[in-house]
Amino acid sequence: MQNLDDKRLLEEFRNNNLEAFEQFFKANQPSLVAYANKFLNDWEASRDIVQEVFLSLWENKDKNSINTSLRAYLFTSVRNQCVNTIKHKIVVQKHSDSTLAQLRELELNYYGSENETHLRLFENEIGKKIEETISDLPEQCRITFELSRFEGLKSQEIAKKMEVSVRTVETQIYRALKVLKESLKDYLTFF
Amino acid sequence: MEKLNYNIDDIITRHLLGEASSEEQNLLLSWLKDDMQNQHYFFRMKEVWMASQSKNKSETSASWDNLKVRMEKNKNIELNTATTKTYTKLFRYAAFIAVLTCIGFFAYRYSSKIFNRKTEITFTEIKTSDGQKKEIGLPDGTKVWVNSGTSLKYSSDFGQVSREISLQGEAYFDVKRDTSKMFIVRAENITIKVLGTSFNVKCYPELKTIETTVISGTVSLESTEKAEGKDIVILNKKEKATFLKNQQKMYITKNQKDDQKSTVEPIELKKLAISDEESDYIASWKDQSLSFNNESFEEMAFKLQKWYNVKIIIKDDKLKNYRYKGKFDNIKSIFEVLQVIKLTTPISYEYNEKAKEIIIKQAKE
Repeated sequence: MQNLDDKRLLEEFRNNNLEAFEQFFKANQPSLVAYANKFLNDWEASRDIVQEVFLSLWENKDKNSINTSLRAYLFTSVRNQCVNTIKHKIVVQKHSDSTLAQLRELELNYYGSENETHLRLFENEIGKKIEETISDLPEQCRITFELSRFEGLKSQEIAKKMEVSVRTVETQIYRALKVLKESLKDYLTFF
Repeated sequence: MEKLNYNIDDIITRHLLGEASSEEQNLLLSWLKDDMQNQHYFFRMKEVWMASQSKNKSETSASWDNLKVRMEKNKNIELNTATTKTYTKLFRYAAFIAVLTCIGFFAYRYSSKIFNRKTEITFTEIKTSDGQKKEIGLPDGTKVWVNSGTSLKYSSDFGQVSREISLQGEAYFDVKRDTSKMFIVRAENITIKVLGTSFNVKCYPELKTIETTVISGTVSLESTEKAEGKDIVILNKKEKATFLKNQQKMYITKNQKDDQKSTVEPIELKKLAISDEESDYIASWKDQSLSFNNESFEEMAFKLQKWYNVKIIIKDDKLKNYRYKGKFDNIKSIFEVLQVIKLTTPISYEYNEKAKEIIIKQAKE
């Protein structure tokens, strides 16, 4: 079932070829979920949205409404869903916390101008690069970053664990971010 | 405002950590609103932060199982609604058919052309024989220079749904930018995707490699053997990807000059115009000049075969170790090229006109 191009894939879907759809799902779902999570910062919600998008692809496979590549279609759909979700959140937040809502609004406007086809180019490469960069960080910096990012510890907890000040933890994390930003600069597509 | 002295990087870090106070968030917000530059700075940081989050928790298999169940469920619902609606549908169809019959009667006179219009997809193939080169324009405005012994194919709906083309041989693409439709080149085992750039692809079935060189812009390359898409490579300007077919591996050469593959110093073909940039060399064939940049005798012979439509047989393996660099402009005959090679390399050659064959041997020193 490999090497099928989009047109043939769609044909397979139309013939109710579940195996083809499964393969297609498994090949594309991870990068789509990662993409959604960039907007939502919520893995569960991201998985749900991606599942929803695949379901609607399956249900609308007989209609000829897809006029880009399948992947482009999926990314655009996921992104639209995310934007809707965020918009909804903004409405909810406005009542409770206007500062956060405004930050989100800014973010939405900012990402709204981003080109998803461009982003898509880099989806698969970026993970490897991040891993490499993190493993190359100075030890203290790396451990601090990993504790925060991967173990989900709060700055205070990390400070206690490593016997340094909270301020040091923040500085280390910022440092790691700077290095990452530099090493990923070719992948960051906003101008 | 009392605190004019704050460090925005500290605030950004605390915000990303989810540990910023509401006062700090207010500061951040007004700082962001202040200047678009600030927004670029912040959102780049945020992008990095989001991207660096641990493993991808996509839980693909579980999600698929769940999806499959939902797909089945919806199928049943669809069937149910279909039966209840059958009667209303039938009535609608009857009315529809009545209208159609009327239309059909009038349309009959004009019809044959309209109704015979085929919707099936046809393919356009552009072929060059050995020794021949073509410059063509694709329906989307992309320009393609097609080198000798090459076949390019695209379907009749090119540009409508996507811009896909398949290539066997060598071609230089100057792709018209269209962010809504990717330009895709399928060359044997690899797929090249771009939005708008210029690049060269060399993919002859006889060669062991597929070479992609970017002249401007960025392209994404993937090997089609792996369905997971892990083998995606991003090529930037003046970078070259060499895909080894037998190993299914991709090598990247950045900014030329030191080509790691070379074990032997390239021999300069003197008295010829030599350019510094390999990218110039690679695409130079489209401007009617034949060039070599640190290429082995074998590679050079291959190019010459295609260029002049002759067969070249290299008798001595020792010759295969020589490497060449240089550029020929407007040279009419292969013998002129061979003469220049002879200046630096001990070769002798025979030409069999009937078989269009050139046999190259090492000359006795």
